Order: sequence, then C-alpha cells, then structure tokens
Amino acid sequence: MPFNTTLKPAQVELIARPGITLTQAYNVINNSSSPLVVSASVLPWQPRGTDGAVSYEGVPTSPDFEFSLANSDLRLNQSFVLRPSENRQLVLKIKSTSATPQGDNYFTFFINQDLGGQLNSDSTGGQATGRLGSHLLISTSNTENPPSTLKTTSIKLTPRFTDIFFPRVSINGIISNESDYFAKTTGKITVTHRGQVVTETELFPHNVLAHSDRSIACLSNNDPVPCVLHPPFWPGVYTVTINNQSADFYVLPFSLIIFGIFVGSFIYSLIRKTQK
Amino acid sequence: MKKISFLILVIVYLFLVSPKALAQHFTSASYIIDWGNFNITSGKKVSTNYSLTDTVGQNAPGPYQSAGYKVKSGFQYIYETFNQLSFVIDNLDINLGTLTAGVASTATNIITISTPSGHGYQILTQYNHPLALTSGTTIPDTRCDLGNCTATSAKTWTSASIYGFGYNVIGINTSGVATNIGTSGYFGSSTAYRPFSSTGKVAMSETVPVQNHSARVSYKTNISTTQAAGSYQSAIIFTAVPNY
Repeated sequence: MPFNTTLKPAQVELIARPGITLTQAYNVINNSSSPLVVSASVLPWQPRGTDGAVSYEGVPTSPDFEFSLANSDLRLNQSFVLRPSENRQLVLKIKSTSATPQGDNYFTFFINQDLGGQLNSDSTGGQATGRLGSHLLISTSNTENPPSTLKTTSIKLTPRFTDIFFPRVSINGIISNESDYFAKTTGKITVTHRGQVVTETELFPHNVLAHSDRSIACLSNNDPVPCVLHPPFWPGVYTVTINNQSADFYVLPFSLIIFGIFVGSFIYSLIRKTQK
Repeated sequence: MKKISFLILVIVYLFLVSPKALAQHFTSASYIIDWGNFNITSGKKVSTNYSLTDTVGQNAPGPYQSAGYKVKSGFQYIYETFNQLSFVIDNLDINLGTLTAGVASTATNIITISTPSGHGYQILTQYNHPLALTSGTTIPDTRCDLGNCTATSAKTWTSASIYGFGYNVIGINTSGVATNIGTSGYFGSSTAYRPFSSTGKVAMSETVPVQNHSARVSYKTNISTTQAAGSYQSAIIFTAVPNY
C-alpha cells in the first residue's frame, strides 16, 4: 500500500495586525487507490543554513498564535479518513493575540499519516508513514508595509583567475536580512568589463527571513538556477556587482599563450630540421 | 599566423555579443500572500468543450488592506505555475523477514517528491523508537564498521560482525539507477548507513524545484547470536517539506 498525497498551497505568506483571526484553505489529495488515515497539525520552525531549509528541533511554540480547523467535523490532531482519490479541503484558522509582538513567525501546516496502531507483527520490520507540510510565513505588523533591510554581505567568485575559454565562473552571494520581517531578494547581478556592462541577470526572489541569511540564485523561467558566467571572456578584470557590493575576477589568455608556445616550438623544430 | 589570430578574436567576439536569455518574472513589492485562497470559491472547471478558471467572492482585485491583514488578489494567473507539494512512498510495509545472527537482513522502498515552482525541498527521517519487541528488548542503532556513524553522518557498514539497525538513501533515476541526486550530501554511497533518530534528520534535499525525483531507501539490520528472538518493530516517519 503506498502513501501518495498532494498538499496545496505549498506555502502561504501573509501580513497581519496583532489580535486578528485569519483563515487559510488547504487542499489535501489522496492520490492512491487505498484509503488513508491522516491528521493535521501545526509546528513552528526556524531557518537552517542559507538554502531555504528549515529546522523544527528546539523551536518553542509561540504563545501568541492559536491554530484550529474551521471544518465543522474536524480538529487539529484528530484522525480522519481520506478515501481513494479524495480531495479534501481543510480550513486552518489562525488567531493571534493582541499582545503578539511585531515581527515574523514561521509555521508548517502538516498532514500526517496515522498508523492507527497497525504495525506489521508477523516479522521484523515496521511501517513507514508519510507526512508533508506547507509553510506559513506570518508577519505581524501595525503597518501595511513593515520595514525590511536586505544587504549583500558576501560575493564569492570561483575561480578568481580564469582563462578566456574555460572554465565558467560561479557567482555565490549571501543576502542578509537584519530586520524583523522577511523580504524577497530583488535586483540584478551586473557584470562589467572596462566600464561596460557585459551582462545583467535578475536575482530569483527568494525569501530572506528575519535576522537570517540566504544564498542568491538567478532567475530563469520562473525558477531559481545557480548564477554562472559562461566563457569566452576578453582578457582583463571583470567586476561583479550585486546591490552595491562588488567583487572582481581576472581573465588571462592562458590557453592562447600555451597554444602559441606549442605552435612556436613546432615551427622552430621544423625550421631547425630544414636547416639541418 | 595573423589569419588564425584574427579568426580566434572573431569567434571570441561573437560569443561575447550573443544576446542574454530573457525570462518572465512575477513579482511585486506590494504583495504578501502567494497562492492564498481567501475567497468563496475558485478553481478550474473543465467540461468536454470548455475549460474555465474562476474566482468568486474576490471583490477588490489588486493589492489591498482589509480587516487588518493584507492579501494578494486577482490571482487566477497562478494556474500558470505550480504551487503544490506531492510526496509518494511506494511501499509502507518494511519487512526485514526472519533475522539470522551475523547475516544482514534488508528491505527497501522508494520515495518520490515533486515541489512547487521556485522551491526546493527537504525530506526528513525519524523513527518512533529503535526496532523493539513488545517486551522492550531492542536491536541497537548501528554504529557502522568503524563505530563512527551518527544520525547525521553516514559511514560504511558492510562488516558482518557489526550489529544494529540503520538505513541508506540513494537518489535514483526513473530506471532505478543510482544517481545520488539529492542524497550525496548525506549518504556518500550505497554502503554508507546511519542510524535513525527520534527527531527528524534530513536525508534528502535539493535547492531547486523538482518533479518526481526519487530515492531508494534501504533498511538493514544485523544481529548477534545473543539477540533475543522475536519480531522487532518500529515506525519510520518520512517528512517532506518545501524550502521556504
């Protein structure tokens, strides 16, 4: 029997004043041909690393938020059955207290497969269960546009010295958010050579959470892709700028020099041979 | 020689002046909710001859602030993108069979994930408790050949004289061939194992959106001659979440 489940939306981002009640609808779909016993729950998380990963370990539950299901027949953590191919809408009610501090809170709305005490008892092993989650990013603010400050804190170019033909140059950057509210990375990577703009690439609008860092990615067909510059390059100094921070890499004609030495040596040996 | 140099310079120039790729970009400084659905009803309606996307109860298309929260509205365009997370475990029954001392027992299943546009993912693993009899007797967690693997660090486990319970996760392609995509940062090879933990530990992740990326999970246990006979049980939980 498989676990085959879809949850949508996969992420919700909202801003609310303290003391407000919101509802958010989720659709959970059992794509399998077997009934599935599941329950819904909400857990807080915090960002881990710079790639958009999350951690649930040791994250305290905020006393300022109360979650419940608005569905008349369901409660959080209560098991219910999803029939084969059933698409069930769950409506999450989010209530914040009037004392909720200004700033961000991050949660995941989970759909958990419940075992119902059914473990395989005939042989050694066990039962795998699935759980999938949708993130909820909540900014609590009295103002419609809470302030957030993103700063490019590092740009790393690899390699710093390269040839005119190879290899490609990878651009890694870190954007830091020193404010209390998440924001999206915006702007462009601009590459200049001898004062001329060689190329500009738009940054993918990743979320940078409050008081955390995020690695940059470039935008391609609405998706994030690694930021790279492809050769060939003219020899000289190239400057990569991301939101007022910049770093240089250097292009030298190593391959042409080696090729020239090789051809020169070949011609020289031919001449020597002819003279003999 | 001059002709060759000229030719090289012309080729280099042509590469440098080639046009940059253009991409469509959906973003705005004023929106807060992505893909939220606060309306009365919305969705895709399909019949034999027609396909309609509608949004009912959405009174004020455009950014607005109402009743203390801010939403993005006018969002039928979301059907152009993909904002759902899907997760499949092909077989929930992990059957390690009848255990024989010094002979490793194994079982496998396959996990598959699809993520929304713009988001990578994490898959975390954990167990409810070590493999255990109802009496409470347990098979210990593996410590691998050199005694150096942990719940977050997989190491080689091939020795028949090393006992315990552990698992390996290897990214595979649609043909079932190991690619290690998504798992290389956690399991270096198919012989690298680590023990489960009672808290979720990342076993597979990618930072870019994926469609139907799979991994084979191999469970392995090996017992000593002093291990009590019986059917040892554990529940393994796989948690799939998108990157934010």
